[in-house]
Amino acid sequence: MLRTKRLCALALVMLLCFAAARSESLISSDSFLSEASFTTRTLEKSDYAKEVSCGGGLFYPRTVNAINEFPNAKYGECLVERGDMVEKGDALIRMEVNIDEVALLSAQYQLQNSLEDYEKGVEAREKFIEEFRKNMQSITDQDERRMATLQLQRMRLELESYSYRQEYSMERQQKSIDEMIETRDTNIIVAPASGKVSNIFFKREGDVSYEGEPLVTIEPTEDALIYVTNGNNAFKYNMPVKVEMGIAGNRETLTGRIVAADTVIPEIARTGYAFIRLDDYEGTLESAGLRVFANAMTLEDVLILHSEEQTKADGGGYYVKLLDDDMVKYRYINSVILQYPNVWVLQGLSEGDQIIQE
Amino acid sequence: MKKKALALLAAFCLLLTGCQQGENPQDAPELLEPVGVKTDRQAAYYGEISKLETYGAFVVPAVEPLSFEVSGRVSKVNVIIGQDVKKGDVLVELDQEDLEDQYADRKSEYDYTIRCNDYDNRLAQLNIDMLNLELDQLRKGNADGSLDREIQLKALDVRAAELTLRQSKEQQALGLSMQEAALAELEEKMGRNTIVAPFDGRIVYGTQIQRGDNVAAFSDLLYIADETQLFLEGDYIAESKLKVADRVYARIGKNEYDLTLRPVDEEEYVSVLLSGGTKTTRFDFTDETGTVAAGAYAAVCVETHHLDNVLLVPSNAVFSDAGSKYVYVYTDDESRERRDVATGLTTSWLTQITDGLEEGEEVYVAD
Repeated sequence: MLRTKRLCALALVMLLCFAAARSESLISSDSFLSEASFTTRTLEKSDYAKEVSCGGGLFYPRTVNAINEFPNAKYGECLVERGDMVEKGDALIRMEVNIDEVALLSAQYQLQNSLEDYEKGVEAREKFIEEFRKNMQSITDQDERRMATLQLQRMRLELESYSYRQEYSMERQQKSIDEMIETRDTNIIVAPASGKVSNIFFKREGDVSYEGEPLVTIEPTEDALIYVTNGNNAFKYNMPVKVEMGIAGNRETLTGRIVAADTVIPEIARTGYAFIRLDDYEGTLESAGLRVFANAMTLEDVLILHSEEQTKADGGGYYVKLLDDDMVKYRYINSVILQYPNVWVLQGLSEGDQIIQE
Repeated sequence: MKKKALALLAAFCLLLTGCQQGENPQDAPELLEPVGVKTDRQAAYYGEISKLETYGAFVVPAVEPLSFEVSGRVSKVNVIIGQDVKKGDVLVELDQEDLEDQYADRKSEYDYTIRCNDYDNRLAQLNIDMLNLELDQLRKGNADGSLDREIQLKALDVRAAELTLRQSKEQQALGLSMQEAALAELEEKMGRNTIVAPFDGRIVYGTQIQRGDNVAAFSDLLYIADETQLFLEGDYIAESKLKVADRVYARIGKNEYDLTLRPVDEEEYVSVLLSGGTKTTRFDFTDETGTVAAGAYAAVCVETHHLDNVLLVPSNAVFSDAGSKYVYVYTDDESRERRDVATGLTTSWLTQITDGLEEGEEVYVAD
């Protein structure tokens, strides 16, 4: 009995071994992978641009102030309102210009007296000269005649000198009077340029105003520029830009260039603005929704990776996985991280390399 | 017993089933090459190696500040920022009405002084002539010598008058020269009341000045750019690094331009340091194509440790152990043997082999 059992067990084991030897597979073929689980791309040179943008506003560079030109003046009356369009020469402010009327009258009186004295003086001298000349006719002595001739010359010269001096003095008096009168009569401040009245400095009637004080701001709308804040110096002089303006649903895209930027002047003098002029734009600039775009960094014909295509090594440095000769190769590279997700490859890779993308 | 026989029979049947499955070779999957059986290897090769660093920069034009040489009040601003100007264009003018009035007054006084001096001199000369005539008359009547004393006195009067006239003329000349100096000073001031464009260029920045503003002498009001003179300005690079560089160049667009360091303006440099400003580095370059414009981005590349025609392997093929370096070289029978090597320049991607390896020998590259 026991022998029979042993024989059966042995036969069973032999059969198992025979079956294993005949079987070509112990595992279902469905569990084999038939293709790789990653994608690759061919590295090619391309261009890269890092865009910056900023909201903008309108700037009128020809903005000018109308100033008080009178030394002793008080504020009179404002003849315009904010937002008014004015032409150059239009009246803006009426001032009350004070002059010393007593001094004016005194000067006029003094001039009148000077003129009368001058006329009398000339008349008296001419009369005296004429009498002397007549008396000379009766001088017979040669030496006396010569002396009389010299005396006559001296009298005439003195008359000429007197006339010249008096006329010069009276001219200066008249000029002083004319200046006082001009100051009294010219009390209107006019627009120095055509444009829109953008600001009227607050003044009340009777307030004293010093000479040179700005009173009204005029903004000529011609040559308007677009400005952006440039505290981070992203907008550089002469950069080409794209400008979008207008309200949603009615936006316009234009091109222009930065024509003025404080990045080219010493840092200590910078005010943090850049100015844009549009290319050949004939329409009206709108401040609504104004936004300016520029490429702060541009690279052409360079090798660019996606940041996920490079891996940072534990010991430092970055590497990529290349597919070469049907196998994955790890190669370290020298790269520069640009704006996410771009990476610029400086060294270590070549155009045509197959980059494995995870 | 029967149970055992039945159990053995069932097992036998199962075994026969398995054997029959193995008899259909057309359903068996193709055996794939398992991943990782091939190892990454690279043949040592002769090539170039260097270290490269990049810095950001921009093309900027030469800019000159403009200011007045005298203080005064602005009377006219003829230019706006962003405007192109020609050499000689008057950009800003100071109010010189006061100066002009002063000049006119002084000129008038000067002319008056000349005229009055002329009258005075002619009158004085007439007086001298009359005295001379009197002297002659006395001499004629002095046949007996009785008028000697009067003649002497008269002669002294003539002499005194002549000396007085001479002294008067000298004083007049002195007075006139002082007036002329004052006029010349005013003329000079009037000639300096304008800011003129020193060359063709563009006004790239300026303070907001308007008519009526008071400005100080030598206070920079406008900045004019000369776009025919371009240079690069960008991130600060230590001069010590630039001195040892094998090559310094810039990528602008698709082209490369060799760079030369611009001398540092010490005064400007100190000003920047004291004000806490940002240090920058400037380079000159030659644009033979004439295509580079201000505002273009430039990637400044500083290449150091450049070696040409040296034996190279990937850096992750070199291992280190207790201070020594080694690689795994593939032998003819595809096995790998450790070999000590000497290395030179090492970067994170390539390593120079100076000894222990030959060109073409394949080394194992670690993952």
